Amino acid sequence: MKIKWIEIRGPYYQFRNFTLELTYPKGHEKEGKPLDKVCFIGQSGTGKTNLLNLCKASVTPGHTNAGMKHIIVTFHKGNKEVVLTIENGKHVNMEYPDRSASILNSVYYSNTNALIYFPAEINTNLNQILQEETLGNPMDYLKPESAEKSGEKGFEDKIFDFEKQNVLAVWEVVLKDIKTYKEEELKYSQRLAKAFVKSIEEGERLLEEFKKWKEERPSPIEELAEKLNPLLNRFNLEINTDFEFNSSEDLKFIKIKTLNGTDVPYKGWSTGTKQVILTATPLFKLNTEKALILIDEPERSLYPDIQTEIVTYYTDLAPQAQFFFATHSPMIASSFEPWEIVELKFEAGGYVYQEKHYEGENCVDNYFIDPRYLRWDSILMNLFDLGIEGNEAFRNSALTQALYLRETLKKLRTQDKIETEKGKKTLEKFEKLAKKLGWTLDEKN
Amino acid sequence: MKKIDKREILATEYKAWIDGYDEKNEDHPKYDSSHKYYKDVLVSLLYCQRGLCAYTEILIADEERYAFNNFNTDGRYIKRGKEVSGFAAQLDHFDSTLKSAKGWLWDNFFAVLDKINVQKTNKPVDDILKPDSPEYDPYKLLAYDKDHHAFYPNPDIEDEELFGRINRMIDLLGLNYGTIKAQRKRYLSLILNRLSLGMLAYRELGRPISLNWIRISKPVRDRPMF
Repeated sequence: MKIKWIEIRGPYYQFRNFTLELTYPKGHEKEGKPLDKVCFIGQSGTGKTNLLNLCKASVTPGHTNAGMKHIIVTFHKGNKEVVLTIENGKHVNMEYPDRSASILNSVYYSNTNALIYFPAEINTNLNQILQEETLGNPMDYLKPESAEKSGEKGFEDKIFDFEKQNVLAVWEVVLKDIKTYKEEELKYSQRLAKAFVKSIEEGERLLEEFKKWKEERPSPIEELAEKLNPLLNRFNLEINTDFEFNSSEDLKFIKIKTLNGTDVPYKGWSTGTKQVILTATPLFKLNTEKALILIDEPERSLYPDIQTEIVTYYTDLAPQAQFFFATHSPMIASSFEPWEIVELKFEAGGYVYQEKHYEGENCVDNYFIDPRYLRWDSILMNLFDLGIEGNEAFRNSALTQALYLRETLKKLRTQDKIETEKGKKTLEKFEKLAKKLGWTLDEKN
Repeated sequence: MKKIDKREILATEYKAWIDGYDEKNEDHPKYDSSHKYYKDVLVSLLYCQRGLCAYTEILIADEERYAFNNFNTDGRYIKRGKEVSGFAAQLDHFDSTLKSAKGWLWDNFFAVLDKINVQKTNKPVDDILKPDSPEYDPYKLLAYDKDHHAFYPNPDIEDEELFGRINRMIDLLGLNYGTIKAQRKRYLSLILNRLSLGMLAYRELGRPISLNWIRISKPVRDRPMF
C-alpha cells in the first residue's frame, strides 16, 4: 500500500489547507503511480516529523492524536484507491460510516507488514535496555519464565514502531528466527556435552546429526551478516556469526566484532554503528512488500560517504515498500528524483507551504532542480537555500585578495616586471592564498 | 555596483515634510518602518534604482510596482487594496549612526534586498562605496572576475590602505555574498554563453532580458518581490 495524496485542511500544527501530491509526474515511466520514496526537507519546525507522524497515524488508528482533523489521505492499495479521512484524531470511513475505518485488514496484510517507523532517536530506547549488565547463564535465558518475560507482549501486529516503549518486544519479533537458531545451537551444544560424557559413539552420532542440521539450515545470522557487513566493514567491523555461549548476552542481540576479531560489546558500539544495524536489520528481516517505511533523519551519526549511499542501501533492502524520509542532509537529498523531494517552507502567516521545483504543469521536463545532478554545495545553496558558500566571514575577503593578486601579476607581466622582487613576492603570496582557497592554478584561476 | 542618481524624487510630500525639519536644523521624527512615509520612500527609491537592490543589483521590484503612476498628484504613494507582507525590498540607512537624529534623510536611504540589510546591520561604513556619492566611480574602484563572478578592488589601486577600505565595503555591502554571487553567475553565464554562440547580439543587451532565462533554477529570493 502506498500513499498518493495527503490533504490537510487542518489546522494540524503548522499545516492548514496543505496538499501533497505524491505521484510521479507526467512524462515519467511511472506517471500517476505513487512515489516509491519521498524526502521531506525544510527548516527545523516546518513539520517534517509531524508529516511522518501523520503517515504513521494514517496506517495505525492508535497513533492518531486529537489535533489531526480534516485530513484526507488517499492510498493505492492493490489495484484500488482507498480514501481515508481523519477527523478529531479518529479514522472515519466516509463510504461506510457503520464499518471500521481501519485500512489495516488481515487479508491484505496476511503475510506482510504495514508499517516500519524509525524515529530520529532510534538508539535511545534500546540503549536503556541493552546497556544493563545482564551477563547471566545462557541456559537461564531458555527457561520458560524468561521467554515469557521477553515475549511479544505489547507488540502490535503488522506495525513496527521503534519509537514505542515496548521496543524490545518489537526486536524479539525482528530477531525471532536468529534467536530460535541460536537456541537450537545452544541446545545441541548441551546435548553434545552430555552425549560425549556418556560414550564416544553416542557423542559422534549426535555430532553427525548436528552437522547435518547445520548443513540443512542456512544460518540467519550469516545471511544478515552478508547484507550488513559491506557497510559495517567501512567502520572496521563485521557481524559476529560465531556464538560463544558465555552468557545470555550471546542470545539477546546481534553481536559484532572488529575485522581483527575482537568482540565489541553493545555498550562499545558507536552511534553510527547502532544507526546502521538498528535500521538495516528490520528492513532485511521483515516482509516489507506492502509496507510504509518512515525514517526520520537517516543521516544521524553517519559520515558523509555513508550518507551518500544509505538511501539506496535501504531501498534495495525493501524494494517494494514506500519510503518516507525527513532530512537536513544534502547527501541524503542527492539520492532522490526531483519530484520525490518535498520542500517545506514557512509562509508569512506562520503556516507551511510546499515550495515547488517546477513551473507550469507537473511534468518531468518542467523541473528546474535535480538533486542527483548537483554538487553538494549546489544542493545546499539551491535546494536547502543556504545563503553562503562557505564561512564567508573569512572566505570572501580571501577571495577578493586572491583575485586582486592574480590581476596584479598579470599587470606586472605585461609591464615586463614579473621577475622583479615585487613580482616574486606577489606570486608567492598568491600561490599560498590560492592553495588555501582550494584553487587549482589553471587558466581560470 | 552601479552609480545611482537619486535626484528624481516621486515622494514629494515626504520630501517637503523632511526638508521642513532640515531647514529648521531640527532632529527628524523617530524612524519607524510602519511610518506613513515608509512605503513612499521605499518606492521612490526603487524608481531611482530601477527596481534593483542598490548594492547587489538583484531585482527586488517589478517595474509596475515602482513606476511613477504609483504616486498621486500630491506626491503620495497610492496604497494598494491588498498588500502582501514580507517583501524582499527593505529600506537601508547607509550610515546607521545617522539613524537616531536624521532617520529620514533621503541621502542616507537605499532600497536593498532584505538579506543584505540583515547582514549589514549597524556596522560602520565607508563612503568610498556609497552608490549615490558624487565621487563614486565603480570603474575606478572595482573590478569584476567573470569566472568567480566576484567583485574585488581594482588592481590599479596600489595603495594598501585604499585596497583595504574597498575590500571591507565589498564585504559589508554583500557584493560577493553566496546567493548573490550564485544568482549573478546564473544570469551572466546564460548571457555570456548565448553571446559566445552568436545567439544574442551585444546590441540586444540594453533591453530587458526575459526572466524565463534566469529562472532555469529556483529563484534565490524566497519571498515575493516588492
